Amino acid sequence: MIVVISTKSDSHATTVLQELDRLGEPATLLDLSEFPLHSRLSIGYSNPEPALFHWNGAGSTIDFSQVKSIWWRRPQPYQHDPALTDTASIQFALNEASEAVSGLWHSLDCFWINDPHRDAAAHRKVYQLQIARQLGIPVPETLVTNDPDRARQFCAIHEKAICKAFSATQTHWRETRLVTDQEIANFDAVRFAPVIFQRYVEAVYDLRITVIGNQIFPAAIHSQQTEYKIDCRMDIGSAKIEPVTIPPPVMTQLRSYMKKLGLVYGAIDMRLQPDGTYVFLEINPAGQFLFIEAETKQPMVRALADALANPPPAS
Amino acid sequence: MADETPRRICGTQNAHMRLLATDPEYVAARGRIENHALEFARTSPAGRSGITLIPVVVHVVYNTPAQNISDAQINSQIDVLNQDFRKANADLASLPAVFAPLAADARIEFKLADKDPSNNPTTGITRTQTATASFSDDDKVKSAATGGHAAWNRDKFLNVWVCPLSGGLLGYAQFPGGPAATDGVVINCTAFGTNGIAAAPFNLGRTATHEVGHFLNLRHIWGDDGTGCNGSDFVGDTPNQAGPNYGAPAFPHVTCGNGPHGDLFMNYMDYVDDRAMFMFTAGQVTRMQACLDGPRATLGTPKPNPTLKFIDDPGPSLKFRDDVTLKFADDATLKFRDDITFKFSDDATLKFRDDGGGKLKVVDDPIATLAGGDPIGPGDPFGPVVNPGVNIGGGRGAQPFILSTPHHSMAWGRSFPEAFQAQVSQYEQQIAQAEQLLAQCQQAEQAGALTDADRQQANQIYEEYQRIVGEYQRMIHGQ
Ligand SMILES: [Zn+2]
Repeated sequence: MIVVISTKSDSHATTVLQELDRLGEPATLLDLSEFPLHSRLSIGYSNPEPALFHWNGAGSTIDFSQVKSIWWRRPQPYQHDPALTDTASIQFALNEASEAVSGLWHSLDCFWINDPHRDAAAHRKVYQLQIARQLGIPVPETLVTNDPDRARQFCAIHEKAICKAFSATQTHWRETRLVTDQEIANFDAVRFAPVIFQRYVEAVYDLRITVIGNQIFPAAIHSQQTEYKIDCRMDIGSAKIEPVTIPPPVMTQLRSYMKKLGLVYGAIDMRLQPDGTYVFLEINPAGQFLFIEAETKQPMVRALADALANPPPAS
Repeated sequence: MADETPRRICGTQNAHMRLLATDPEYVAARGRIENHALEFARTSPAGRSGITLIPVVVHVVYNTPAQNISDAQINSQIDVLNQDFRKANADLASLPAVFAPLAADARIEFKLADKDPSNNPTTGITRTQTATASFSDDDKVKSAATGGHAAWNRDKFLNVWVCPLSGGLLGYAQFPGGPAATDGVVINCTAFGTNGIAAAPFNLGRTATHEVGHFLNLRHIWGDDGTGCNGSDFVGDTPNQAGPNYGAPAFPHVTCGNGPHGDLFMNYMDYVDDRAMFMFTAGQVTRMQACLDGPRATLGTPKPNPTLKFIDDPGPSLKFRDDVTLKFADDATLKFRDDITFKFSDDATLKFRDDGGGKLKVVDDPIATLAGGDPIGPGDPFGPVVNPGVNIGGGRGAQPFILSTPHHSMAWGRSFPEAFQAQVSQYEQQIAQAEQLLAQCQQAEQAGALTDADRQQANQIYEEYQRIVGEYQRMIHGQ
């Protein structure tokens, strides 16, 4: 049995589940937001029986002792029963839910894409840059600060600098932006929350490099032919996306990078500078790949399904 | 997944979003209409007295002979409208007693038109065979060129198209303020009336009641904010409610801390089955009457023989009026300040928390990694996670650097139309809220009830309002 921890509205999860179905692999979607509201979890230890890990959800019944691999795709927040109304009760219920489920994850002897702890750490942009530097992968000059003076200094040194946020939330999504007079006029507001400033990396094109197990799928995103050259996500609909090869030394570096982060899956963003340098921007441990596959036909859905279906032998 | 029983699907919000994105005149008109509705609710002017009688034209647009519904089916629908908009429907008896004071008579009646736009005698029914197998919420049914039938003069008639609709769509309406050629409501022929080809669970004529509610400017009762608790239907006496209710829920259904009585799911503007909806509230009636006083002022005539019994039904509306007045008259300064704080902080911060299902742009971070509250430390991958919901629409102070300067490009709108429209709709709500607040500020100022601190707050709201309007216009006009 394969479990995909996500939600019905996640097209990546549903597409890979279809592929698994086509391959004849038993697989099921597990939406954590159904817990504890609609799902019943039981973990039991009674000698001499083996441990019981039983999940009875609205859509599925899962015996976790029979699960060989799990895709940690888009874990949803737990949901309490609305019969609980006061904050203390709700918080308590959610904490208890979290404790039980976290324990379950730790107890399972199965293959993870990605291991939740590694995945969580790998989301940290500072840590991403730190590891890249350790491995000699070029990263742009960077300053993360909430000190307006240091921010001013950094942007004075670098002729072109960008600013960006750590998190992209539904409503507060901001594209990576060049620091213009408008931003500089607002630098006092830097003190309210740390901001990522970086030297602007000129681009021949952007790269989206999707790593799935041993397979690497590099794609070029021709961002410089779109309406917004700074951040290729902005006008991705009109960007030409095509498969591309990257030099073997860069491939080797990326493999080491994944290994160091302990990730099986990751979508890496890089930029090819005019001088031929491949500059690392960030890695998205839960990044999307369908929009790339649609253009490049690189078989990523299949690769992901295969990785889940054929986990490496436990070490 | 096994087949589920059909659920109500209404296309009005879709049509609304489409017009917002394509029709600047509509955007401007919506602003005016909301201001008028607010003013109307606050000042309780006379408006139309008695009962308004609205002439209806039913355009039957059919593909198969069965879809050419009978006159009897059409008449059964008119009957339902006349009961529902007069609080004369028998099933009102099922209303839980605690909600009884809310139910109100909308004082509107309907009749099939007896004169056409050229003043010739008519049955009030047009019948058109079409090659189109089924329609959607794209207005094609409203023009002969696209397989439908043109609207009659919307200043005089309520246009009702009855046709096959695809994708489980039961109907949709155009809010007031839209183009004349597409004004009216569209109802699926199998969800129209109570006999003929009307099919359960939508065979009690309530789809038309719901859509005519929209046509008269009512919003969905849960506020069209997904399942969040901060969308508003701009009606004061409807309980705050998370998302739509389906089927026939058991009372009470508590969401958004609206206990003990819970959602007013038996309201015509929820998504429950026909048999489970049976009332408008006084606040909704005020809003519909505001519509007849404003954008639809030319529609309908006073009913010749009003039954006095219903004209004087002051209970609920009086209550509503008191609520509104109270805010300013009794405790002006204090209430005023509460309002600003409460409305702005809550609406702006919380409204967005529950938005949508992660279709935003290329957002690679799963929401689940964003934060965790005490005592589960941030970054705990297993913790219950909450979108931090940073206050973008604060209006009361500073903003972090990243949020304090606008987008540098709106190019993403083309690539991510759904997210784009969701954002447009959010801005629209924020703008409407800010306009309400600013109008209140103005009134309080005239009443001499503003302190310097209040004025300062008002100015901040105005600045924030201008910023949002600026972003909004950039989005609408593309840049
Ligand atoms: Zn509706």
